[in-house]
Amino acid sequence: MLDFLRAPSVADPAGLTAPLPASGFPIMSEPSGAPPAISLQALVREYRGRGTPLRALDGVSLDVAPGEIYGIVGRSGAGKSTLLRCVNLLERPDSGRVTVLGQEMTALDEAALRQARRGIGMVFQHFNLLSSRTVAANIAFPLEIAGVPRSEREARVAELLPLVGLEERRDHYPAQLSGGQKQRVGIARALASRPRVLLCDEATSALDPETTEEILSLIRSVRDRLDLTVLLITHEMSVVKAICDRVAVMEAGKVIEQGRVFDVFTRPAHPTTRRFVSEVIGHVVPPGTVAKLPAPNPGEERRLLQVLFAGPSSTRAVVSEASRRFGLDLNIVSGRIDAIGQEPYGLMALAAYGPPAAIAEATTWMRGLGLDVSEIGEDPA
Amino acid sequence: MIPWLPPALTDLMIEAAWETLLMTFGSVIIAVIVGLPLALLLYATGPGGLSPNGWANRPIGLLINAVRSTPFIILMVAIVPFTRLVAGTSIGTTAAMVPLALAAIAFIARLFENALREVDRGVIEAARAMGATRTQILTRVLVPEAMPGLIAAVTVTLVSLVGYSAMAGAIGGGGLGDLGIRFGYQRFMPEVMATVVVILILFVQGLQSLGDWLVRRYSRR
Repeated sequence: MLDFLRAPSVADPAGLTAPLPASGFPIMSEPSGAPPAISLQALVREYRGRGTPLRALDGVSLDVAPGEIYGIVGRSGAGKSTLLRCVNLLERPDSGRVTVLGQEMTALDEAALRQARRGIGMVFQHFNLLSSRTVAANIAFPLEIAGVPRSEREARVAELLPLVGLEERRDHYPAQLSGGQKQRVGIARALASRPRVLLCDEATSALDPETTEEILSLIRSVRDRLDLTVLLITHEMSVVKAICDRVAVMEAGKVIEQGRVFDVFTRPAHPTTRRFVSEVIGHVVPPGTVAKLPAPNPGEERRLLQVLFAGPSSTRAVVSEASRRFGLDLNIVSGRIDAIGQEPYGLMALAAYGPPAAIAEATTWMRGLGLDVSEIGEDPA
Repeated sequence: MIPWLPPALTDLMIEAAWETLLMTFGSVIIAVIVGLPLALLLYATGPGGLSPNGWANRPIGLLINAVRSTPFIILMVAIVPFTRLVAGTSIGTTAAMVPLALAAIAFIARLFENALREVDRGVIEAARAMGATRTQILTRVLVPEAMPGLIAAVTVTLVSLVGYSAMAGAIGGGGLGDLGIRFGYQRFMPEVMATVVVILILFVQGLQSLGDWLVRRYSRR
């Protein structure tokens, strides 16, 4: 797994011409030829109240590929909730087009829309279970609404209870369940009518960290087993890191950045994204460390470099060889090895001491090895 | 039978108690049958409802308020022609049930509406996301989820009707309240008045306990 810690590939001349690590996760590459499961095109939604109208969605477009878990992350008020509710048209966009599983939702009439909604499961932050119904009756509810006969409903409930691990709680009422159990009921209910698409509206935001992990792995496992497409919104980047394949970052009604989770985490472009990412994986340079670094010798400079390893390359060898080749003092300020999804990566902060030209050369050389090197300010925000 | 009352009054007391029971329960049954659809209509057409519609909502609300703000004793006489139309007579227990039911409908419709409003909007949204029709949301989500509140509203209405029914004497409706006034007050028999009051207190207590027990039984929170 941690390939980049193994053989030093520094001496490999081929490495000099190698492109940036392609870090390809074989299954979930960019949406390929298959038509997207969910396609949102130029969605605009405005709330007109007193005062200036609020643009909750300001021309949002995105495609979710079949089988992927797509995360939308943003602060509250960014418009992500409105966006999710536009997918099954709980909220109707003022303009734009919503297509789910090849069906243009925005073109359907009331009855057809109700039918289409039955093929889209939804899980809610506050579970939204019927307090007057038992676990089994809650799970059966969407089937009841769809007019499925009792015997079939019971058979389906009997299938779903073990899937979410609630066989023992069959006849309990929601008030007798813990938050995590309630959300399991919510998930089972959302899956009852065998949807191909699952929408999760802050599904773990009301849960403690341990339960959150449980629910997230349940969502992932049902995706794998039932071949679902999942679109989830969250304000927690950790949720995205834990289960999403791709992510879109929203701010003020717009998608400001989107891409594979690994790429967004390792190379965030937008300042807001960077802040989100640092919430989960912390700052590259821990606050306060810069002050403790020795000052550069006269005629030399000190630069802080961030080096990202994603793919096969060796940390130690890079540092020692760069030091030798360019006559620099390289001080490792921080370093971490982690994985996002199934992909490992290493992130290191170096304080480079030496003539500015040599530092620049070393940077170019490391980039040539396929490392992602960037200079970071001495005052990490 | 009641040792401190003359035997004839005991019989009257039993008859009056029966009339009170008939008037309160009879009109509350009518009130539930008419009031629940009315409350659902008010809820559905209200602002933020399932299909907001001011043209339907406002006149109904206005009518309900009009009935509720008319003092019952005045309402009773004011609608005599209507009572005669419905009950065939304007005097007696059956006739008294018409204004009682009318007042109870207006009263209970508002209470029901409030109980429906207490239902978590998230649950309704979940039902919409499942593809439920408006009727399904009203009958399978709203009413079952509001059940404890609805039962409490019936209890409150029953208790209020016990009070209203005391005024039914004005149009010959009979009942315990009427008996208390006629014998206890007009004939200077305080022991009759006291007996009536005690019976009514026990009756109301019983209703309240029954209502509370039902609310608990249907409450799954």
